[in-house]
Amino acid sequence: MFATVMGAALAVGPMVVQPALAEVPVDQLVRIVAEGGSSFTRTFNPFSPTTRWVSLRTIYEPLMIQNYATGKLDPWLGTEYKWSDDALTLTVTLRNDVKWSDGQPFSADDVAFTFNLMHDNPGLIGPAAGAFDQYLKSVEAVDPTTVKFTFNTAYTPGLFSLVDQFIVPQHVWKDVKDPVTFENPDPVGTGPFTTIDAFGTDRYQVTQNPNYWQPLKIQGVFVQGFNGNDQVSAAVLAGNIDWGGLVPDPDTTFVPLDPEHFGYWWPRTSVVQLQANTTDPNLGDVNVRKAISMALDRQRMINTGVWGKSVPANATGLPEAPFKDWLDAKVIADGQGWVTMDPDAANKLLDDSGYAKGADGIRVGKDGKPLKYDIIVPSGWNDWVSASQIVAENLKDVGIDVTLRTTTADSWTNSTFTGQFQLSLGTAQRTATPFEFYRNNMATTSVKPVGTASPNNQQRYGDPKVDELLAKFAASTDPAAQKAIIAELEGMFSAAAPAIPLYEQPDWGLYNTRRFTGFPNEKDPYAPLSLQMTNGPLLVWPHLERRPE
Amino acid sequence: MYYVLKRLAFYLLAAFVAITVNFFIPRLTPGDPASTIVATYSTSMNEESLRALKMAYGLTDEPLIQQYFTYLGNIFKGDFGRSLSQFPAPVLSVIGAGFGWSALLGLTAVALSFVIGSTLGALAAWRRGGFFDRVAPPVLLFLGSFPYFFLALLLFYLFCFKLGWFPMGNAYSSVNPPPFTLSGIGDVLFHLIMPAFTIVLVSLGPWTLNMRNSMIGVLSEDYLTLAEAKGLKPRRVLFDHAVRTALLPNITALGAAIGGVFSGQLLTEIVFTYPGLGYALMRAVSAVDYPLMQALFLIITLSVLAANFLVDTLYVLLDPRVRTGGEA
Repeated sequence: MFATVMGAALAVGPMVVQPALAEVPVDQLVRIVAEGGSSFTRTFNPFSPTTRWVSLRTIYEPLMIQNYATGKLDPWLGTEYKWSDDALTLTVTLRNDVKWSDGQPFSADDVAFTFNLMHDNPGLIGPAAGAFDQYLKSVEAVDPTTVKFTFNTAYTPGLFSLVDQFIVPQHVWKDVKDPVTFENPDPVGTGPFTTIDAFGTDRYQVTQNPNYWQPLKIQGVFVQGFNGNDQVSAAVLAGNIDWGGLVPDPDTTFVPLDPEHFGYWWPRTSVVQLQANTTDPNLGDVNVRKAISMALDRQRMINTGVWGKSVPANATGLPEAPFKDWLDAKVIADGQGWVTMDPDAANKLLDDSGYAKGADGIRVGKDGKPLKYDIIVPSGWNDWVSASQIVAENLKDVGIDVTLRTTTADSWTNSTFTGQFQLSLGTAQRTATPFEFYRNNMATTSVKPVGTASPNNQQRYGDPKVDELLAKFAASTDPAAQKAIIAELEGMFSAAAPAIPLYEQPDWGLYNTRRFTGFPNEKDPYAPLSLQMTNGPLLVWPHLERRPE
Repeated sequence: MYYVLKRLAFYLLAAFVAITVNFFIPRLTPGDPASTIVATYSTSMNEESLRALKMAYGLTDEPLIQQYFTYLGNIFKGDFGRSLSQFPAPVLSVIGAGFGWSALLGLTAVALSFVIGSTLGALAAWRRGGFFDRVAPPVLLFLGSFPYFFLALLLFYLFCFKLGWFPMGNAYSSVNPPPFTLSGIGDVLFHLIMPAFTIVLVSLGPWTLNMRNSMIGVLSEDYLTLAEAKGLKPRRVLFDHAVRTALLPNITALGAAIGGVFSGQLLTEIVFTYPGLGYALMRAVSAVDYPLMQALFLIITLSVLAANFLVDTLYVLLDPRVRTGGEA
């Protein structure tokens, strides 16, 4: 009986996996942790929200890359951009030495085709999705190396979404019947690694594009799936991973194992904020929000949640490193009071605003109900869970009763997006300028009714004055004028506290230089080390080098 | 034969009910896949693109009953739709990738625990009150009562991470599947050892205990005394007469165990990063991936039913009482 079962099962196992090209030895590839799980399918449609990681980090490339480590817009497939004086036309010049991985030349026609493809198929997702609805009129190829974007209305922040859009080859995608459901198993791209030479259920490898436009010193990447964080940590600590992963407190658990080769770099590009739903009559009161903010022990959150690797947020809500040129020192100094822990001041502010304590020590709101709230956070997001615990403890001291409720990530997303929550944590998107931060936190245009899902403005705070300032910013191509507008918005944020900034969010990144060198780090911060969320990895590949044996 | 046909009709009806429940249950879980999509893609997504995506995903606002009939029709055509969490991959290719591995791991583990457990139980009963009988069942039950996740992680840490004797994950060494040669099979078996071993370790207890209890009942039957009186060798009495009868309850349990293979080894597949369907099921549920969830539930349900049907049929061969028309 046993033998028959084994035989049958063995025959089933390998048969269901497709045969592929010869594998490059794994030892020649950079081993990364970028995707979770062990049920990969061979789908490389970059327009799918659930596409394989490599689609957007090695196979396809954008015109330019916003470098969150340097704060600069690095040229990539495009070499430079130019606005017309009325800011209604954006012209991007392209490199002329780029070929697709199948040998066909890359040109402005491919760029125009990509945007028009997205226009004709609203189900395609990418950084520029929605551009045609909001500001973009048309995209045309002027000549093989020039693309012209024409706008309906002046909207200069659109630059970053447009140049961030990955470009697909016209000669392949024009024949695709339904680009939304196209699986694209053998992708053709301009990126460094485009050849899927081995693909398995739980890992795959992608090797060199023979026509890449830059010199490369490595052969490709090996993406391994893991079914849980413990498995990732074990692989990282065993030195089986070259780049990526997350281990708790790396200074004591990771680096000491091999100080010469193991390293990490956690630049801070975003801010964790406490969101209070302003449709609640009491949380809608700026004095309550500021008192909450003054009750919080930010340093303790940093020490327990991120092992001390961060700093408390400032009163503008913006992270310091990526936006240092935009920050107004005066706003930060003037607003320091409401983002610094001072429970006495918090109690006084609540007393003065008419929230007297009831018999049980819980303050009573304007609506006659006690200030009792739930704070929701996805279970397993340990840094956020511990920060939320501290929020609950701190607020008890000022007479606000907060209960921590952990949920699944999916139901948390659903509640926060639809505004059906009282307190929650959130982070801002990583963006090139503070424009999106203020639009997403304070503009009436980003406020959706409770019940309608939106990733932005979960707290539902809107001020028409912000809309005006943002419109002025969007119509301007003058950096000085834009800076003045942002300074004004920073002041309005500090005055109104639409969200309560907690601490700066580190971008997790680990590396192991036993086999490959050249990773960005604190001493050589040429690109972000994080594998997720940004196009940073494209900046890193040309710097990596196999260590001689 | 009539008995088998009757059972078949019963299982077909059960399958239909299961398919129906299978359609409605996931739709009662909270959460909206569209929100999850927005979350994974936090840049600007307007309503039109959201609507277009929903259409592509096959998420309609049609009345449930209408969706139900579409679903039934599609199942008979073998169309399970596209996975939402692995869009645009068809559900069948997500499942196809993991099915073989889950089956290999699950059936190996079940077969081993059945054979080893039943043997141990039979031996314990045969030498009732002996040293082995006093030690083995409690130890095995103790192991089985361990929280599996903890035990598996402990063994993973010790044998895969610390000592490095076994691989830390996957079903074979290279990315492409190994060839069907001796070394290829060896590689697959080598990766199978730890995941299968941990399952066997925690599941041996019930097999052993059930077999032991059933044996004790059988051993006091008259026909065994007769067999011994005829002068048969103890070995033959044990295996040809006692074990064959005492095995029946374990055969029943075998049906349930085979049926539970896909859902039961979720934790094993997580701890040992084994590329099976158990983990796919967990991801499908947490991502509210209806089509994938439904197809997986369907596999689970149908495998339970099929295994039970096989057991019923097997009974006809093993138990003369069923053959003569009575119920087991």
